[in-house]
Formats: sequence, structure tokens, C-alpha cells
Amino acid sequence: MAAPVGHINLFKSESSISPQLEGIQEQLRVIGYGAIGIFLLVGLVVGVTFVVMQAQYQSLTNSKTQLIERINRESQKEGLLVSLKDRIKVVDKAIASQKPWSSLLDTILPLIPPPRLTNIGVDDEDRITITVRLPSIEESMNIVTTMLQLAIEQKIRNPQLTGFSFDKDGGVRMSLSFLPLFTL
Amino acid sequence: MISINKAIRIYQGLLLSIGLIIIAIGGTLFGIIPGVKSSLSMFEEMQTLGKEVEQLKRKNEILESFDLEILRQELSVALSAVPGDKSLPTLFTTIEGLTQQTNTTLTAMNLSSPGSISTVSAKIVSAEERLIGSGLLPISITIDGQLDNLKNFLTTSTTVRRLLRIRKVDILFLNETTARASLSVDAFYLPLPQLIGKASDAISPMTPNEEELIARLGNFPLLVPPIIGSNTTLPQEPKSDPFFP
Repeated sequence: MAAPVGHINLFKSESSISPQLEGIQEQLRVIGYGAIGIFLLVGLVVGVTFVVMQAQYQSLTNSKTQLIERINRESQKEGLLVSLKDRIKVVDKAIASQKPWSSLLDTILPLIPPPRLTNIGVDDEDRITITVRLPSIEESMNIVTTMLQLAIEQKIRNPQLTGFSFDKDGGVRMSLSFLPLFTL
Repeated sequence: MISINKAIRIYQGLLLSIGLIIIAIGGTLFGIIPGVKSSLSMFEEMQTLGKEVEQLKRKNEILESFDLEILRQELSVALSAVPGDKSLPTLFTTIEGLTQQTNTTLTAMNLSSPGSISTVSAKIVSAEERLIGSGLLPISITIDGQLDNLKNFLTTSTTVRRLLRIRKVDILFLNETTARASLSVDAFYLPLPQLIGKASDAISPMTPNEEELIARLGNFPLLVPPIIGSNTTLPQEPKSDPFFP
């Protein structure tokens, strides 16, 4: 398009880049501004988050330091407490491992009182051995019957005759062992 | 040169857009992604730190909830039951006190393996000791007395402050009313710890069961002088061995 006479046309007579490239340029401009906008926004969020978190981290670190100082000041209490709790565990187990031995006597003595009962022994495995001295063999049979009766009543388990001998005076010495089913 | 300037002038819009995209990509790669990674890493550290601080707070609250004097008294009770060493004098005194209290006669006492009377270093720990968690001091005693008194001895032995455990019993009936009991007895001891853990190590408060056990132990008769007196003065500065009351 030619300029009228007396006018100067400062506009370009034709575009220096093609319309297709202009379209791409426009799209790139939108993408570029969008990308930089998103970048700045995300950067701001990340930056602010980091700064806030750093402040919180510092605050937690300070709290930790102060708490450690306070705990260290209470070290004597802690020592006493740890020591006490260790000891209580042992006390608990020690008391639990005690056996009510008097119940052994309470169970045996009414059945076979002294002087017929001469000895009661209990080994590490809680097996009870009793030794009795009786005037006659008939009475020894009564004792055996009593033990069998106790086994039937499930007061004792696995009764065994471990020794039997006659004395010079005609008496009988007998040893029996069994496992108690009553609480030892 | 002219052609370069001309190209720049022609494509300046395009170049600006590309520049912005490059800045955004570069910033994301070298700024935002490391920033996010650092934030995530800090978040994880904060989580850990937060838990530690909570644990420390709890520990501090537990420690502050205790009264030092009460703790000392309770430990004194526990120490009189399970001393820090073999404490033979308290063992002998307890057995002697028991026989006096139950009207029985101590006719023999045999310390089968006294070992070291001061320290327990390099001692082989038995399975039984491992199970209970303390050292065991075996002692054999023989006592004579009336049957009822012997029964009383066996019963009372489970409720004295210096804890004892009768492991084996052998009773010889001398006549209808008197007997001789040979007893294998175990006494307990547990050395005081030399070190406490780190400040961050967790501790637990006393449970009702533990309080009840200490109270029960406190009611057991003490047949020996107390190991720590109630009027024992505390040092003002923390001691090097915080366990020793």
C-alpha cells in the first residue's frame, strides 16, 4: 500500500516474522509469563514454609536443650528412680519365688504326726520325701493306703515307696516320696 | 553484527518468552526442587525432634513429680530388702532376729559360697540369678524349736524386710513337739547401677503395683538397722554418682 503524497509511512510495509511464528511467539509469551508466575508463587510458598519450619526447628532445638538441662539438674532423682525400679523388679520376683513351706507341714502333720513321722525333706524339684517309723507292718500298710488315697484325691502325685526296712525291735522304717499338688 | 542485532530486534518477544521459561525451569530445578527437598528433610527432622522433645517433656514431668526425700525413703526400703552388695551383717542379723522372734534356736549357719564380700565383678551369673535379675547368696541354716515355732519361722521368713527365700527344707522330728529344720536359704542382692542413661532415654513413672509393692515391703519388719537414715542430709551439688542416696 503506497503512502499518499506528502505523508511518510513509518509502519512496516510487511511483518518481519511470519504469522505462524507470531502465533508461536504469542503462545510462548503466555507460557513464559505463566511459568514465571507459577515459579514465583511456588518459590514464595516454599521459601515461606522453609523459613517458618526453620523457626519452629530452632524453637524445638531450644526446647530440647532447655529440657536436657532441666533433666540433668534432676539426675539425682533419676538415679534414685532407676535404682528403685530395678530393685522393685527383683523384689517382685523374689517374693513370687518364696514358697509357703508351712502349708507343707499343715498338710502332712495331721495325716502322719510325729513321732511316727521322723523326717520331711523337699528337694530342689519340690519332691517331698517323708520318713516314718512305725511299730508294725500293718500300720505301714495304713500309711501306704493313706498316700494312695491322697493320690486318688489328687492332693499328691506320683507317690513312690523309696525305702522300707525293719528295725531290731520289730518296728518298720519307711520312706515315701511324692510330688505335692497343694500349693508349695 | 547488524544481522545479529536485527535478529534480536525481530525475535525479541520470542527470546523474552524463552528466557522466562528457561528462568522458570532453572529456578524450579535449582531452587524450588532443592528447597522442597530441604523442607521435607527438615519436616522429618522436626517430626523426630518433636517426638524427642515430647519424650523429654514427659521425662521432666515424671522427674519433677517425684519428691526427692520420698524417693530416698523408698529406695532405702528397697535397699533394706535387696541390698547393693551381699551385706552379710544384715543377713546374719535378719536370721538371728527371725529366730528370736519365733522362739527358735539357731544351731548352725553355713555360708556355702561367700565369694567376694565387697564387689561382684567377674562373677559368673547362674541361670537362677538371670531369671530373678539379682545376685543370690546361698546360706544353710539349722534351727531347733517347737513345731509351732518352726512353722512360724517358715511363715515369718517370707515377710521380713531383708528378703529371703527358703529353697530346700529338711525337717527332722526329734519328738512329738520339737523338730530340727535344716534350711537352704537364698538372700538377694543387686549392685547399684554406676551410670544413668542419656537424658533422652525414656523413664516410666511408678506404677500402682510398684507403689503397692514398696508400701507392702515397708510394712515388713526390719530386723536390721536402716541402711539410709531419714535424716541423712543431701548434698547441694549433684553428686558424681547420682545413684548413691
